[in-house]
Amino acid sequence: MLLFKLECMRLFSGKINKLVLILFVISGVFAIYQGAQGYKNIRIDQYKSKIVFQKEREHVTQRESLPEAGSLAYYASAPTKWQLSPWAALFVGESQSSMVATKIRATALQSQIFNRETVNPSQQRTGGLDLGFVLVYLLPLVIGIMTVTLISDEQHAGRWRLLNALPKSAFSQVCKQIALRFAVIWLLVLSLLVSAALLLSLPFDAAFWVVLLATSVYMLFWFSAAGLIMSFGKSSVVNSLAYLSSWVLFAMLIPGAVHLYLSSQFHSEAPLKMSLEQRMVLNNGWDQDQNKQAILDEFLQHEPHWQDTAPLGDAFEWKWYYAQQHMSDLAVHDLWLSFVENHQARYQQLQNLSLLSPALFFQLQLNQLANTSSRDHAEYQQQIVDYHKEIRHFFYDYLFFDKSISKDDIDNFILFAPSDKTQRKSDTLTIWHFAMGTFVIFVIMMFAVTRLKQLSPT
Amino acid sequence: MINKKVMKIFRHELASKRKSPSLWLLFIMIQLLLAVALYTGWQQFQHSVKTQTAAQTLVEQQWQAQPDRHPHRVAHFGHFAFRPPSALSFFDLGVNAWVGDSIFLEAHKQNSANFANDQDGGTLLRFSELSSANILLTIWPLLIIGLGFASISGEQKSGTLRQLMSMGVSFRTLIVGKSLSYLFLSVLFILPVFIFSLVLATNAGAAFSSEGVIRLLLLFGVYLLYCLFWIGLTLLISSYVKEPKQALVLLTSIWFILTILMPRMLAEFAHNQYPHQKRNDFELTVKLDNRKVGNSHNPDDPYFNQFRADTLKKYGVDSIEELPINYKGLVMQEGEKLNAQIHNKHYNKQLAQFSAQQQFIRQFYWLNPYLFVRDFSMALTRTDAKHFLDFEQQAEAHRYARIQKLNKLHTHEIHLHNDRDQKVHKSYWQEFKPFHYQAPNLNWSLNPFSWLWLLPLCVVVLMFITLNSKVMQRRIYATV
Repeated sequence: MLLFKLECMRLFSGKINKLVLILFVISGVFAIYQGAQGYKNIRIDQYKSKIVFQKEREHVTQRESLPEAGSLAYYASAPTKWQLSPWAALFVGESQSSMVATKIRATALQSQIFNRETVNPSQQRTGGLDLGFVLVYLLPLVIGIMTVTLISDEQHAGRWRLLNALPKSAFSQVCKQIALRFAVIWLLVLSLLVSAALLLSLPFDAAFWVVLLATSVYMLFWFSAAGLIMSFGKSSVVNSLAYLSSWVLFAMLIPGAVHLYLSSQFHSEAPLKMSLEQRMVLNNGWDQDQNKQAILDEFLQHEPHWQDTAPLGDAFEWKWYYAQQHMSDLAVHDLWLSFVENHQARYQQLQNLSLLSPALFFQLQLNQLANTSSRDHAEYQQQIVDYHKEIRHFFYDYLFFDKSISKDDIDNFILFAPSDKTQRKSDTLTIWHFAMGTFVIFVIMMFAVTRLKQLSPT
Repeated sequence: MINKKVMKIFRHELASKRKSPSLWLLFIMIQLLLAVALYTGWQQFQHSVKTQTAAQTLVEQQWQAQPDRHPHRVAHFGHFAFRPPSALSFFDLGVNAWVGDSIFLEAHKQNSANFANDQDGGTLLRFSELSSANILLTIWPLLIIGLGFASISGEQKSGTLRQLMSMGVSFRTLIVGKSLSYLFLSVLFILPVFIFSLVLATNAGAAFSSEGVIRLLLLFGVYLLYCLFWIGLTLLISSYVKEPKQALVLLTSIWFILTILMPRMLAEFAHNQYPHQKRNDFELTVKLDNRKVGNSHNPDDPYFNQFRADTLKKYGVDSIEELPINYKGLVMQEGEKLNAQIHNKHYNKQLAQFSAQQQFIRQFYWLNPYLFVRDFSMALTRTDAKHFLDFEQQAEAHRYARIQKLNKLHTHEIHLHNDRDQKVHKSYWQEFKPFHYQAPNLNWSLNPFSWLWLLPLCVVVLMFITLNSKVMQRRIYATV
């Protein structure tokens, strides 16, 4: 017990140790606070979009005469919602730079789906500070500063020989010191997570334990790395530099290189091509007065449910308008599919490459857990596509069968319902990766331990 | 000031660094990294130039190839503005990943730039891209720390400092000698990247001008100042802290705070303090304001009723049918004007919030030269938010002019009666000038830094004055 107290005192007596721990806690608290603010803004955005739509709907139904269905469909921009986990406050991923409440209407889809959130690009370039950042990038440095010079400091102070002469080996002494550091840092992480959970009223469910477990394993990796570096018995300075270099490699260089690689391999011009092509298709449609019926016929082949519609007259008709809007979507459908495929392939590659760096892997897992990864965003986009179809079909009855739209119909307008996160095939893959990663970390740890045991008292 | 003794220290320091294999290794590895970054940056730049130019040419052709059309149809056909990458963006990518490259220009609606290259940015771009500038900004300081953290504390610990002093080498001489050697190494380190940048930039074609050389020289200067800052800081800490290991830990902690933690905290704080509107909010405010003043598509709108009365009075006629021009075209012009005014009002508010955020960060340039050099470098390479927003504004100005020109055609070439069924001759489309982004000049780029560059410079000068001060000398002499 006395020894334990002594070790604690030694741990907290160093100015640098204290400074680093305080810095860690401050950044953690700051990140949680900022994350809570950002998440609140997202929720407000989503809620407000819903309310605005309701108000507009009431505004329409309170009018004495309803506008015709075509004009109604033109102005009915219905809200959608990217269903984030509340953990998105802590692991923001793409949620701050993408639209979380895209509005969608029955006109051409592809000109609506690529809308971007307004961001201050300077802020984005800086990189953001969420709890994920603190855990993935700051935590390893805290571990490094507190452990990597343990043995070399003892050697330097001349105590290492002394410790080795004791009945209890110096090794067990070092193990105790490392364990103490692990415990202190782990408790800090735990208290950050618990206070975040309380502040954001996150449930203490599976996700919480997964985050805690993953963080613990991640900590184990960096402790093992520190152990491995120490086992070479070099001076404090060499140890510190080696540890710092490995941090720079895993945290900055590998992710940077992966980004360079992915953007050169998976550069997709599809969105630009789509918007250029769709515009031409739409506008050529307007020029072909004689061809209007042909466009409608082609449309009806794709949507046979409405094929009994009356032929077009000479005047402007909304049904032709929406038919050709949809045809313009179909004209670029192949490009859209290639865009989606390109993204999937890119993400698959990212998952594979993330195994190169524990930091990158951990970061990716945290984002996936919070539903904020680009894969989740792609799924949200797919949900928008599906919802767009529902909206179209809702209006088609009125447009093609000349059914008159009633106030009740408007009240029954289908609203966007985010689908629950489905169990993905890749989730099992993730568990696989995780298990494999844990195993590798375990091997590194055992290796470090054996080497440390053999470290002779020079 | 630079005498034989200084030169001896200088040479000795270089010789001792030359013997360290790990330093060589790091030096070469980071040079390789810089080369890779520059190469990929250059590829990206060329690819971007090719795509944007091709796309711009295509849309210009599409515009000119239009058949006879009603001007308002053409206004909805619209046009595109593409953002060509700036000549030096291969050196510093700045905010490029986060902003779109193309804007669709159409009637009644101000779109934003779309199609950015920020996929998985929340995972992969936590430290921004591996651009040459970013490597010089974040990784090179670590090497300077590695070179110099033990320079004074190490000499002190091993006792060589005492020997040097007894041989009549003053502390000042030591500092100047060592600073010079690290500066020499820094120049050696960053020069290749700048030479290659210059070579590449001269191949950048039209995007590069004689001003580009000045920009590169200034860039070199500002990065040299940045090196001096880290050299000064390293020597200062190394002189204050007696243990080399302590000096190293302290320096890396400072490095982490200055280059990684503080910029993030400030940016997040600034965003909270001066929040800009999210896209949905912004569009809603513009929409509501537009509803208040009037809807040009609605013939019974009160605002436009007044406008009609004024127009009739101006021409001295009783009905719009008697007007010598097409009243509908006039309404389009007026509507577009109102719409643009409202949009610009709110857009300027957004800009004001952005610049308030930037202004907040600027207050810390003196405390953290990293921030200054990062922003100055982005301004010199025309890759900062200000340059991007300038593109957006130029595109909007172009949109407005183009649409109003079409509305004038509508007013003068289309008759009110049976308006919708008329078309104007396709030769009119040749009279529209293509969109050309005008890259701002150096003066404009550096405008926000008017005298702010003085502060970091003062900090660096102050650091070297402290290092050479009597107080510092006494402190060292007392502990030797």
